Amino acid sequence: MAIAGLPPLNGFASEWLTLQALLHVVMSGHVGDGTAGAVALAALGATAALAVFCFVKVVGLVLLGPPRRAHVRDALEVAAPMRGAVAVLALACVMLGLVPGLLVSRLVAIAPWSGDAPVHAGLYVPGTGSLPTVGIAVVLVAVTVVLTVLRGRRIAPVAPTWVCGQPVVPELQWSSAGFTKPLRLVLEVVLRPRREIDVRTHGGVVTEVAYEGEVPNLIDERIYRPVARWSLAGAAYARRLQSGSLGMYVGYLIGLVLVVLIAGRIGWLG
Amino acid sequence: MTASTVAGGAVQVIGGLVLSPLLPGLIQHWKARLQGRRGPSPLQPYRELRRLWNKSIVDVAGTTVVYRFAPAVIGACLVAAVGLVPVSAVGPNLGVGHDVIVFVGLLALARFAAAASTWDVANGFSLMGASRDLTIAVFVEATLLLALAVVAVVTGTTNLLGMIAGTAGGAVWSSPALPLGALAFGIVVVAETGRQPFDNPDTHLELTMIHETPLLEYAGRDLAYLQWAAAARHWVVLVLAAQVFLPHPRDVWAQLVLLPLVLVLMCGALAVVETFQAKMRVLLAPRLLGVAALAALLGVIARGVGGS
Repeated sequence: MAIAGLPPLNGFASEWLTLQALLHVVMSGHVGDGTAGAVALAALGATAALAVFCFVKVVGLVLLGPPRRAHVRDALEVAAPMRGAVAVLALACVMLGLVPGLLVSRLVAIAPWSGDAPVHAGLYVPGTGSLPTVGIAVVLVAVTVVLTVLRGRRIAPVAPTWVCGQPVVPELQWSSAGFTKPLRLVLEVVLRPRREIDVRTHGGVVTEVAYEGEVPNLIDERIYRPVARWSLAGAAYARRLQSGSLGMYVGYLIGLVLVVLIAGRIGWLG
Repeated sequence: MTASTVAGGAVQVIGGLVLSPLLPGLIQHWKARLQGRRGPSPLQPYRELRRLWNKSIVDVAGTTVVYRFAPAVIGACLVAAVGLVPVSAVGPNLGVGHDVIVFVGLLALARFAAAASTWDVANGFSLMGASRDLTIAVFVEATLLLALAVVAVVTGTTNLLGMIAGTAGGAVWSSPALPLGALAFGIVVVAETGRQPFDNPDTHLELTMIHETPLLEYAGRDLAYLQWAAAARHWVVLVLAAQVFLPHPRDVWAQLVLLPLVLVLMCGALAVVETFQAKMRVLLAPRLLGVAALAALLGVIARGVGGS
């Protein structure tokens, strides 16, 4: 939740600061900066939503729902120190989310242009609606507690999940690829996913369906690999100059001195 | 604290917490009339809430705290959002500030809680709805931020009180920036409230639901919370639309008096859109949002060209 940038945790405080910074770039008034800032703002907003999408999937797959395999069902709880370490990290996320102002005011004080930044628990920046982290956390937690208490006690017996009469079995559970399928279809133009479906039939009965899908990493394929190829080719060419023989280097030096002398003579060097 | 601050706070809290179910009720009522049916009374959402309040909750076998807390967390997010969105240019600080980015964050938290609960119950239909909801949310969030950026550029602040004050009067509306931002926000309103052409609030077919599917496994007061949260979502986005993205008077009292009128008119507009517009394919919805985002971007550029 913290990494998905949700209030009232630390990720949201960082996201708030970044979004505010981009908004103020847009507000600065110049057309070029403003447009670039606006595009970055929209991209960051979409990224934040993607982060929510991604981490709800991770949480859901790993922690929630009925067990998907037998050895997951028989899993044992780990020892207390291992749980404690995770708890400490989680506590840090909560604390940084509650009082980001204490840390940020220290960071602002390091900056050379800083004046006296007042120290608050929340983030108070002029030109913004400010981020009263403690207030938000208190309201969220208090209302949640009140609503949970008001929820009352359950009278009806516990019921299984209703999936139109089918039992919830591991074979029918949703996979990670299925959950993000709509997004992949929407972004098909950009992501260019590849998929192969292999249906084998035997006597008119489908006996086996093999599905294989892949989202190629476009930045890897279209940018990094050509650049790496060109720089390797360039390096091979440069290696011919670096023969390692002393005479060659002396020749280079003499050549350079000659060029400098000629340049000085003609007056290029001023 | 002046009288107008108190009045603004009262309208905000009473309107957001108590009167918000009237908005979807009005939309349903008028939609039925436009389609030649008698339809339910505008008070129908209250009757449903009362009915649900007296019913027992049902827990799903094998679920964790995520399932049990999700409706309360979603309710809390919307309560905080109601406290955050002021109804006029002056309003009391109810402890959550008035920042628009916090507003976006609260809506995202509500969405996260709903999606996490669907993984907990492992209902295929719920998961499909959550997956579609989150897909559309990627584009909604970008468009929403761009629309808000237009207003932030015009008013020079991300504080909602300042935004309402800065967009009041007729002068700022003469440049194309704000109308373009309003166009973008109008499409965001339709998407956020889960209305056609993005989602069909009347559907009872699980395969076509988006916002309704996380509700499938809830009953009793849990469902009442979720239905109230859907109504409160109408309130916050429509109040934002009325007081920031539509021309409104400078005077605070006039803002408060005109607000109910504008809200009712916008409900009528949503009913008309729902009647004349069929639901879009889920995969095409992002294109409409993309157009809205481009409009908002154009607004920012227009402001930059005109303002500098």
